[in-house]
Amino acid sequence: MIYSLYTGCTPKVAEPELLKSAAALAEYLKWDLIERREFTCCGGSHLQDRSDEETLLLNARNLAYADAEGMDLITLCNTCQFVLADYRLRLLEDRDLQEKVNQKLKDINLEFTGRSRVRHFLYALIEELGYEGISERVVKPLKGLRVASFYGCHNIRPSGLQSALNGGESPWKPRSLDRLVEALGGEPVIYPEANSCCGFHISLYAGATSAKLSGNILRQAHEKGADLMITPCPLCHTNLDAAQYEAKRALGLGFGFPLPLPRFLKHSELTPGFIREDFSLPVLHFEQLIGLAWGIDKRKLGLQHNIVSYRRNQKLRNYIKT
Amino acid sequence: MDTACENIDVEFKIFRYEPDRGPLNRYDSFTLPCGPYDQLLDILLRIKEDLDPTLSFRKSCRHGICGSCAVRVNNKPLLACKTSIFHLTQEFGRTLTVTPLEESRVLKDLIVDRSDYWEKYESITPYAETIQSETGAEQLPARILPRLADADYCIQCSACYYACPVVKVSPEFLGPAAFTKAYRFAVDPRDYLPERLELVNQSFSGVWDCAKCLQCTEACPKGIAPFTKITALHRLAISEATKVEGQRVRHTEGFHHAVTRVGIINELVLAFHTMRFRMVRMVPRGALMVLRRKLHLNPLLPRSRRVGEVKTLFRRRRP
Repeated sequence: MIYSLYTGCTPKVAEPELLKSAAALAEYLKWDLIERREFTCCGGSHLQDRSDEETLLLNARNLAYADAEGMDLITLCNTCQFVLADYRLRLLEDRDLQEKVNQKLKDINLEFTGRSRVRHFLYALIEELGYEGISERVVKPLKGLRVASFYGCHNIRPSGLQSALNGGESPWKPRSLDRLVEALGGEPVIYPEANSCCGFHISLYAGATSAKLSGNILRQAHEKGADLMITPCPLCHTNLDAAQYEAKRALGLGFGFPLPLPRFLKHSELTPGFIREDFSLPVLHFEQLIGLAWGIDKRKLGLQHNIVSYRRNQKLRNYIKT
Repeated sequence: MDTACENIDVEFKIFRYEPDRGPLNRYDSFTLPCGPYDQLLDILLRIKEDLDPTLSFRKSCRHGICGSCAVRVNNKPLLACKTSIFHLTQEFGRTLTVTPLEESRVLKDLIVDRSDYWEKYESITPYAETIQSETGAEQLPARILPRLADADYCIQCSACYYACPVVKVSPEFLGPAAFTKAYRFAVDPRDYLPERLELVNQSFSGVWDCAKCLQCTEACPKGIAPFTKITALHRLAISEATKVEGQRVRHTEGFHHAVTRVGIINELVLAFHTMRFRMVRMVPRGALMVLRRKLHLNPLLPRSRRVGEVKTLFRRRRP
C-alpha cells in the first residue's frame, strides 16, 4: 500500500506522538506514507471565516500536489479531513469553479483533477484491513481495559460529506472506534457525549466555554468507568489531554494545576470533595492503542509525550508494563 | 425493501415527566407493530389514542412545515411527522428512545419550554427594517435570491438550537437558528439594520464563539446547514469592518499570516498572535508540553516548501 500523507499542522508542532505512532503502524503494515513537503495548512476551518476564495485556492493547491502524486491522500486530523474533503467535493461538483481554479493553479504549474481521494487514517485502516485484519494482528489483547472512544466532530459530520468516506458511520451513533476497541480485545465504554464537541476551535479566545465542553466529555467517560480514552483527532487530543487540567478546573475539580496530587490526599476523609473527586484520564491517539495491542514498542508510539501519563491509571499501567 | 413490506415490532421508550407528580422523569415502554409507511408521529398518536391518553407532545401540520413536533430519537433531533420508523430502525435497531429536545427544559413529557429559544431569536430582529426609497419600490434582485433561499426555509423547530453544545454550556450564546436568520437579513439588500450585525458579532453571544462542531447542520430537518451561514457572518463582519473583540478576529488573521509566510501553523505563534499578553494563561500547559518534548520552540519551524506559491495564488489578478 502506498499513500500520500497529509499530517496537518498540530501533529508537526505539538503532537509528535501522533506522527510517531502513525509512522510505527505504517512501518508495521509495510505501508508507504509519503509526505510532500509542499503541503501547507488547510486553513483549519478558520481561514474560511476570512476568505472563502483564499481557502479554496489553498486547498486546491494541496489537493493538486496529491493529484500529481496520483495516490490517495491520508489525513491524520479530523479538521484537515473535513476541510480538504469539503473543498474537493465543491471543486468536483462545480465544473466552472474547477476551471477557474485550474486557471489560477496554472501560474504555479499545478492542476486539480480530483484523482486522489481524501480519507482519514482511521477509516483507511478499517477499510483496508477490516476489523478482522486488525484483530488477527493483536498479540497483546486489551484484556479488561475499559476504553471510552471520542470521535471528534469533523470525521463524522457533516454526514452528507463524510459518510461516503467513513463507511457510512452514523453521526448520532458512531460505532467504528468501539468496534476497533472490541477487535483489540478491550471493552468499549458507551457514553452519550462520544459524538460531541471538545471545543478546541475556540480554546484560545473562549477558554471557559471550551474547557466546559471537554470537561463534560471527560467527566462522563470517567463516571462510566473508563480507564482511558482514545480519539482519532490531534485537536481533540490537545484539548482533552494537554488541557485536561483546565477542563477539570471548569468542572470545579482539582487545583487547576496540571500536576498529580499525592495519593493519600485522595483517600482521606478530611479532604474536600473537589480534591477527592479529582480524576485523571489518560487520552491516547487510537494509533497508539492499536500499536500497543499489536506489540509495538511504547517508545516508538511516543507514549512519553502524552501529558496525562498512562501511569496515572493502574490498569493501563499494568497492561503496558507486562 | 422486502422487510419494509412487513409489520415489525418496535419498542418505544418514551420520556415521561409530569410537573405535579413524581417521580421526576422516567421512561415508559410501549411495543407496537409498525408498518412500512408509519412515521414517528403516527406511532405517538396511536399510543395516545389506544394505550395512554396522558402522553403529551406538540404537533400541528403533519407536513414538516410548522416545526412543532421536533423530538429526539436516540439523541438524534428530528421532526416526528417526517421521520419513517423504517429508517429509524435501520439506523438504531428495534428499540427507539424518544426524548424531548432538551430534558432540562421539559414542561410535560415531550413538550419543551422553548422561551429561551424565542427570546434569542427575537433579539436579532427577525424581519426586514427597510428605508422607503424615493420611488417607493422595494425590489429584491434575482441574483440575491439563491443566497437567501435556503436560509428562508427555516421552520423554527429549534432542533439545531437544542443540539448546539455551546448553547448548553454558555447560556448567552444566540445559537444557530438566530444566526441563520441574521444572515438572511444581513444579505438582503432591502434591509437596513447594521445593529443586527453588531449584535451577532459580540463576544460570548455571537458567531465567534461557535465551536464549529456542525451539530446544527446535522440536526436541521430542512437541510439548511446553519454552519455555512455562521461562516458567512464571520466574513461579513470582517468585510464590513464590524466591531469584533480583537482576539477573535486576530485568530482568523493568524491563519492568514501563517499560510502566506511559512505554510504551517505554529501553535505557539498562533497563540501569541491571538492572545497577546493573555498567553500567560497558557504558561502551565506550555511548560508541561515543553517538559514532555511536545512543543516546537523555534517559531520559524516547521516550514512547508514553496510557500511563495500561496502568495502567488492569493494575489488578485488584474482584469
